[in-house]
Amino acid sequence: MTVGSRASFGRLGAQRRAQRRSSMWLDAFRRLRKNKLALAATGLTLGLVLVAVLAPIIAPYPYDQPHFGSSWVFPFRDSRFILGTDSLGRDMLSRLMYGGQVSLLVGVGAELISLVVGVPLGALAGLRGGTTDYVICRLIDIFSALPYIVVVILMLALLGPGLGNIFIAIGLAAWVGPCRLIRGQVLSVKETPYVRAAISMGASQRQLILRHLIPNSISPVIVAAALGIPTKIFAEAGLSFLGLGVRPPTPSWGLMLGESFQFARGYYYMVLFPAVLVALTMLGFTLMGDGLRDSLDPRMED
Amino acid sequence: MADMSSGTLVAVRDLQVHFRVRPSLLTGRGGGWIRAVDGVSLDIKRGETLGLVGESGSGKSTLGLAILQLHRATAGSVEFDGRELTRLRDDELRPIRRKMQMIFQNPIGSLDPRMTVQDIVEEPMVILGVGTPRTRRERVNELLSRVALEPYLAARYPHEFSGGQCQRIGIARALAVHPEFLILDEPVSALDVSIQAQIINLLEDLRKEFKLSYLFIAHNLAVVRHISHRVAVMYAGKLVEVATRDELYGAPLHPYTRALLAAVPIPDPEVEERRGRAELHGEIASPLAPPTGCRFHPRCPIAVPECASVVPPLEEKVPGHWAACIRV
Amino acid sequence: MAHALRDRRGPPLLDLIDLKTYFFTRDGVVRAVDGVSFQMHHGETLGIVGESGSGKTMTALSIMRLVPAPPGRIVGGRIMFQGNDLLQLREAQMCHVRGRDIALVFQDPMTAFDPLYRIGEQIEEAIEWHLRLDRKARRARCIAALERVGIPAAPERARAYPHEFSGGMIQRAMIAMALACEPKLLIADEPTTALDVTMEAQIVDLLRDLQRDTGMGLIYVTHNMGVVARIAHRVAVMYAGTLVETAPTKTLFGTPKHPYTLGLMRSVPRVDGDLSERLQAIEGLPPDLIDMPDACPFAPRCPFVMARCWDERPQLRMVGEDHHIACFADV
Repeated sequence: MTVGSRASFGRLGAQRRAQRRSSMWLDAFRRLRKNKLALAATGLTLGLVLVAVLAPIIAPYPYDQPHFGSSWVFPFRDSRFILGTDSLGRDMLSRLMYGGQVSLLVGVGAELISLVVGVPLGALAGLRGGTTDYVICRLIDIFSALPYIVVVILMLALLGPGLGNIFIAIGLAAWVGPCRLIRGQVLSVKETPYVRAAISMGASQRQLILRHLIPNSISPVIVAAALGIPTKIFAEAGLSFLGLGVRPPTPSWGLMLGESFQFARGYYYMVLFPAVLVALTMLGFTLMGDGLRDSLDPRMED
Repeated sequence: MADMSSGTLVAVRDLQVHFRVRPSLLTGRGGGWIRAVDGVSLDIKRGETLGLVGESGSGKSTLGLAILQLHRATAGSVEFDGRELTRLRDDELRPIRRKMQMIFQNPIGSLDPRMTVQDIVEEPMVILGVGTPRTRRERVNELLSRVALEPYLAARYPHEFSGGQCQRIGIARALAVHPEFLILDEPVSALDVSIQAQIINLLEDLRKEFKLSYLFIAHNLAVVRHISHRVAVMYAGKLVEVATRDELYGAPLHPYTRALLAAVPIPDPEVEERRGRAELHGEIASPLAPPTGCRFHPRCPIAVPECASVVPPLEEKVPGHWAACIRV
Repeated sequence: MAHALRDRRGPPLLDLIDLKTYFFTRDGVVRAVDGVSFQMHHGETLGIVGESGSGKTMTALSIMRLVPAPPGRIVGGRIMFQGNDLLQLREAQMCHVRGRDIALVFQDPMTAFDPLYRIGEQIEEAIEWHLRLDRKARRARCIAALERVGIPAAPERARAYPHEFSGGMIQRAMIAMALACEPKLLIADEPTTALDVTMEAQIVDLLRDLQRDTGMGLIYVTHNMGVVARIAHRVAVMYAGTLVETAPTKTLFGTPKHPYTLGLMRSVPRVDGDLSERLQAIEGLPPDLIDMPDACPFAPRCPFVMARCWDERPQLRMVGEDHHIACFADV
């Protein structure tokens, strides 16, 4: 008595499903493909990332090269400087491109740091329970009580200025988010029948974590990471705007905003372009993250 | 009958599994113990299927998990093949775990949704460090064939299968490392009726072929009757009756067993018509605050005042037939 | 007495004519209910038996017009209730049928009640919606309903919240809520599946008594043959969205004629009677309901299959008094 997978009858549906051999990721990818908004956002984000990464190659000028005769040039007036120049005659387009590098570096780098710190702690808390969990939860409580920016500024005060320190500070201050998330996931996955089954087979803690707990807990964390990047980008922009972030002449969109804020009335373009780019980058990552979340969510379709 | 090649494989003595309920932080009340398993002793012989029946709150599932040391016993002992298990550490238990495996109630839930069938079925081997990837793949093919699944299905994911097929995968997994003893916790309750029969037959065939012993936990008395050699009945954490299959169903002694059998509807309208009302009133005893004395006495049709103060011991009333009741 | 032939004269209470409920999914069309026809009279209990995917629950939901709207839809047939076609009613009119003329008892009682409100409040809400009664009268009716289903200390229990009830009690409460407006037809969809054996027996007997006392029609949807034998006057067996056999209960169990029914009877273990060595299982798997071809859905698993079975779908034909099967073979 051999029983295949429902191939005995109703062939069409079974065949169709058999052809679309699926895993969680394939299914998610398929769903993502259907989400036009998310696709557009992903395209936009990838485009911005590409431009930022290739800045040294495609930017017309180095970001700190002044052109003393051509300062305060408005956009679309001079063919040499398509988006205009700033107070020192530095090309806006180039500075914006390089500024993208900083924003993305901080956004992604800081996010990675928050994951590297938060995920293991959260997984440990969820798995061990007891005192370990208690201690980590209290740490979470303490960090949650302070506003994010305040914590970042405190850390910057300790670490000092500089690009590297900025993304460490921004990242470290945000460890609480992923930590809580994965702790919750681990707590619920721990109780599932298949984890029980693995324990009954004699799996060690390490085997449980690697084979079952992490793969089954990871998707909300990925989504949260995608959605966390805009927050980090904004934090960097804000700090640089206040003068607490990157030092000139490194172009950061926030810094460019800070420097030109006072000239906003007359020279709107110096404020408009960085602001729009920050907004677009944040929007791109957010919509992409939303799309990712929707696609990873196992929906009841049939 | 059972293949009684040698004696007892699993011996449970006075096992207690109690769960602490924390009192409310605000009022300090509500604390206590859930006596899920409250002093159970039984034996499972080699080559036999012991059926364990009970309703919810009887503790039967907890007992199964406790034998496997997935719940640590509060008191009492569990011996497997002569070795006492309750005091062993996890790493000491691991080589013994190879010989005892479990089949779970929720066929789809007991399979990791992110793993392929291949990964799932070979997992016991991986955990115990047995074999190479190639030998494991061969073994998985062999096992899948044995449970009547095409080997090419090994690359699929659990959600692509039906409940019955998932249960077959679970059975294949349980057999992977050549166990001697299987605990089956409601293995067919979640399956359709027509599939239940297939799985029951499969389990019987496998038991005979691989000379396994089973502890078959279920609430469906008809299914248990079909597959078991001996049957034990639990109520509110205690054993109330143990007997051979024919004795239990043919001449039940304990009033709870009788009530249970009377409550099972029989697919025969003539019989049902003659039966009349066969109800047992009241609610099942709460494991948090069980009645004093015999736990069944508030619902028992033949209870006497003494039943409220005396805890009836499980005694051999008739050779091979034990019951915990002072009125029998 | 429970199985005496009902008085079948007079118009039927419920007359399903070729009901079709389809689900339109990404992978294809699922014909959950594919041309089901049967009749029910006052004072009768009809047991609808089937496994998962048989369409029994969807039939019950279709009668109540509670089919999940995308992706499901009732695409054909008529549901004649007391002479009116329910499918022709506007939704607003249907709301007055549900709960009042036809009531439904669900499988999972815990989810049928809102955990935030007391049981009494929720039952009274149903009464208020359908019957214009003042507060006192509503309260009295609610208490009466709870008492009728055997809930002790009804006035106190009415003030309790759902989580304070045990499984059996809350199922009784749900039955009370369903009966509060004295419906003509009660549909019970696997009401005891989640309950223990002893509790199940109580609920089954309760429903049997209530049906006898009120004379209402009762449709009992289940997969448990024993319960059907106990409570139903007539039985309809469903498989893969189609009705394969209908007969009075004694006839069905005495002389089942459809191969599926036969297979089912032989594969179900019993607590009484002789014990055969091996259960006679029905081979194969239940079919994938997507894009089912026009053939007998049981053909792949049928021991009596013939060439004709693969080409056309059998219609119900009479094989005895009040006994119909959808099969080409003569078993």
